[in-house]
Amino acid sequence: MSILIYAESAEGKFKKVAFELASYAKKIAESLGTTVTAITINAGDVSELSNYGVDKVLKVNNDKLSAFTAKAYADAIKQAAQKENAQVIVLSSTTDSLYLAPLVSVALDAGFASNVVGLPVNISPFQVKRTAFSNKAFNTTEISTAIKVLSISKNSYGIFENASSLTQEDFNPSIDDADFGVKVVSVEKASGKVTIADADIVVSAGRGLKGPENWGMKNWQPFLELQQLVQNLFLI
Amino acid sequence: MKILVCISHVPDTTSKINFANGDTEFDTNGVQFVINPNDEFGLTRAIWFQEQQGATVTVVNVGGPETEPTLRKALAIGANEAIRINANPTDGFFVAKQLAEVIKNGGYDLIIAGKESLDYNGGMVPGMVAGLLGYNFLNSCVSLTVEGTSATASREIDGGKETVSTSLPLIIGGQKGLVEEKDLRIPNMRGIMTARTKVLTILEPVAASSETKAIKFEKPAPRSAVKLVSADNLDELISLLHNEAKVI
Repeated sequence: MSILIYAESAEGKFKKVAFELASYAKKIAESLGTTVTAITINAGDVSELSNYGVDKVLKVNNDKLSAFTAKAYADAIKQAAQKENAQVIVLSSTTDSLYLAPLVSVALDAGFASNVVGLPVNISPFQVKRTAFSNKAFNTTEISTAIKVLSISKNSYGIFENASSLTQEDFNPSIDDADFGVKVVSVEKASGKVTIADADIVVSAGRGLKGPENWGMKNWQPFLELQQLVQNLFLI
Repeated sequence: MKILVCISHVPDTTSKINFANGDTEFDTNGVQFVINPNDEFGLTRAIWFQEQQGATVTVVNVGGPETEPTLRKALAIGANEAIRINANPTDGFFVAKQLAEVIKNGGYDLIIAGKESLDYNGGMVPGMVAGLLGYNFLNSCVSLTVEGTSATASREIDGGKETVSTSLPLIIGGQKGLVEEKDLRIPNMRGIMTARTKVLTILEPVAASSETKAIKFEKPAPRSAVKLVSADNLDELISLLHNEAKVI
């Protein structure tokens, strides 16, 4: 039995949330006396995960999975969970992970809690705290199934270094052609600009302004110059 | 094209949120309920399909008799008929099982649900229904067109947008973008009167277990007052950010 995380990557590099999931899973694994396994899909160097407590990586390298396909990715995660006999599957709250989480949940007959904001309140019965009512409240949810799927709210736990000795294994899940009923035609994404999910610093001037061009300032150019200089700065 | 729009009956977004019975359940006293906003975007898109492509639109909800006014509002907006599954929606999986049964028996081509409801914010029902039925599924959907049995849609992704092609039967988790807020329909008097005579079928639930249970609620700690710092007192600003907020 282990804790399984899906360590998301983009263009071969891990997203920040992958390290947060690893940190979170390591803490649960310690309390359960077990290990953390990560499944990666077309990621590059996976050794970085060992800095955050991951003990084993199942590396999937498959050209058919070069574009995100929720059903196929969920299928791969399901097979990884079964291989590792994982009882807790930890996912992030990126749009991709929120897309595939319910599919993983149904495939594994696992109860699913989204928007989780902390370590389990209790292990047996398994209870987690999550946000509800559009962040106007918290809710403690009990998951009664043997396998649990959690999606962790971004930046709710944090990233903590915890070195581990990592083993790597190539993993080739069988992917069904029926998983590709939704085909990606095109992607529009601002290149060279950090997303709010991956930003370390967020500068906001109020709700709904979208960017410095709407901040009501005569000259907002210095902020754009600052964005060029400071890595992982997001202006909204 | 037969469209099923899944409707959640949720507190108005301006409602004050309180809890009852030792913080174990939502206190509905004095709360106005509405169609879940994400569902309303989907409903309006479905009505466009009805008007432009001759689709029929059925709305469905899992809930007790108290949810019927919300379904009648959807009928007043233009849905052809409504189904209420007579059960307390105990968790997302239970709701998904009920909806999957209705979809299987009704032969729907397109199922539109909000990507999440604004009460429990589970964000799981459309995906679970797709998982149970094996249908094509697109979440966070912000645009959708259908030609015959082919569909082209866009979904929001982190930092951008992705366009996909797929085919019916299709389940989408929709949101703002399917239509804009200005496109939402307010029922007119004729619609309200017509809705009274439209068919609202009540179905008993199928046997299904719940996998999760909300056992306790709490409200966040109240926010502290905003501290205003004079624009010419940068030393104080830096001191507050460093010593109090501890962000620099």
